[in-house]
Amino acid sequence: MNDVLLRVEGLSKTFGSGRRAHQALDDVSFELRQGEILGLVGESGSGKSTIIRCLVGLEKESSGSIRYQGINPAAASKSELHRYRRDLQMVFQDPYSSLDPRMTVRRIIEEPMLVMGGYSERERRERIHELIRLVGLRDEHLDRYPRDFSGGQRQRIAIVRALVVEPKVLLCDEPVSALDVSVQAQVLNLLKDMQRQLDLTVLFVSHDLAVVKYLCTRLVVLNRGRVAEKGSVPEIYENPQDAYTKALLEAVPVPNPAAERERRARRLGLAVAR
Amino acid sequence: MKSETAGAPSAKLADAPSAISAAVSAASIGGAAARLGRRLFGRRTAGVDRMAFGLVALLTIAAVVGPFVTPYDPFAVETSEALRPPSAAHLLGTDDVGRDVLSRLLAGAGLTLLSAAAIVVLAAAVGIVVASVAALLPRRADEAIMRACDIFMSIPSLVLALGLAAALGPSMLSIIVAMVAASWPSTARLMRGILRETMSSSYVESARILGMSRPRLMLRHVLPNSLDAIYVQASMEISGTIVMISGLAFLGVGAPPPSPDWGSMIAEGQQYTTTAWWISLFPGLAISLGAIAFGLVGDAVRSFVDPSSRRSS
Repeated sequence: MNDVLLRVEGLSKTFGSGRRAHQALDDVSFELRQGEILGLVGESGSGKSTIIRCLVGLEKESSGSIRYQGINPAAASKSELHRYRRDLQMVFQDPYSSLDPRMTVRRIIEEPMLVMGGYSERERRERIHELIRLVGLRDEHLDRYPRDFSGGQRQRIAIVRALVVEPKVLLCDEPVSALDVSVQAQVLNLLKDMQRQLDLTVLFVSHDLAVVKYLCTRLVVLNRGRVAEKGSVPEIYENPQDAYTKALLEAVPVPNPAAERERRARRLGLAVAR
Repeated sequence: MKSETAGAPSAKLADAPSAISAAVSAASIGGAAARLGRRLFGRRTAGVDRMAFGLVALLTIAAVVGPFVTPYDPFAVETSEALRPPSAAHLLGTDDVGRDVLSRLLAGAGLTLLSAAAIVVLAAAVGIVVASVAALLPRRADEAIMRACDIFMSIPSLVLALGLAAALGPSMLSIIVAMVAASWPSTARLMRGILRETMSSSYVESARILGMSRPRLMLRHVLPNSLDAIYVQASMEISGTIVMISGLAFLGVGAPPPSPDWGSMIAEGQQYTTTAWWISLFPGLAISLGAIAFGLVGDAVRSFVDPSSRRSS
């Protein structure tokens, strides 16, 4: 078994207070191992994105702890926090709103290196050119603005922005759900390639079980802020233990018309029986 | 990982001085203005908008060169020529002491329009600065500043401006000061809402998670992406401001006589509305025309920035 890189323990998050309080996360624990692609699945509102937002510091957890290679970001020294922020990078869901519309692609990609520091002008330039080619874009794209690109291209730019400071962990918050089905596969393949080439560890949040099955090695299934089930992808797909996981898997369309008809009939029967 | 601690470590890491980010955001504002200009005067501009732009251009020219091309001295008292109706010699007639109405109108254009522009620009600037500072302060200070703005806004702006201008003494400067004081809170409130919205967009969050300091975040990402709404508000407010300052001048808190600003001119012709209607009518028309033209331009600016609000005509 690989080393544990990131450990989340007893993570809880409550939004608001009093009668309007909403508990988004309830005692969530899991670990992310070196080199794996861990899928975090659940329907909308299950708290998937909140976990990522807590990990990058956009939300403050109500209780619980995050530990990355001995660093606890809630009580880290400046240099530890710097390393943490550099090692964990994020790809947002919607590539139409995650790139500053007033910046050229070059400036968007350069910014993380400027904020993190430690890159000379030449290094910055070389890294930009190297990575933009790695994701299949060209040098002439660098001086254009986000509005000049399609959703898939924008997500490639967002991936470059996340990778440019050489992170160890890539946190992906539904990175393909805002994209056309036809370009989803391209972006997924790109993520898989990058993971292999750069030896990344990936936390992949998704509600799409087909995508997760293709990409991930292990899964954490979330239901209303709680962990319903954890395990390897074959384990969970072959033999789901939790009722919620079973229901989720049942809802996935099957690419076989006869089987699909049967599945629908079964689901309909289930619905009527209820 | 608390957001309050986010500023401290990154301030040291930030290698580019904030002056650069300021210059950069200034440049992007300039870029937006250039795009706006191309769009406003491009081929796709509607007829009404063209007319409004034409009028605004004309009024602007009048404001700048007007005082130098007056057919008569706008201040020369000529009692023998008093109360003359419009004629070839005096196109818009003369007032009760024989001054040429057209000359005074031209001489006053700059006073009225430039004061209106100054008020709108200054109020927007104050509002933007207050809103940005509030956005950077802790939540409680932010709330306190916004509630103070609400209190300011609860006082009718005409009454506030009238009181302030009267206290400062009759001059165009005191009208400007009073109007800016009366109108910045609404800009600040508007701006604060927009800043909040922009701050929650994922491109700002993506910079935040890197540990970028809040002031730098504000200058680099938030402000440049929030100013569109201010262009709209400012361009919409010019016309209201023209009417307001003319109103204040009419009520006598503006520049003392013999100032040729349009509001004062209406006031001077007040006693003669039945016998010498031209003294008040033409400055009144000038004010209406200015207000309508700038209002239409404001509309056009808004439909450029926010296409969903486009007129249905």
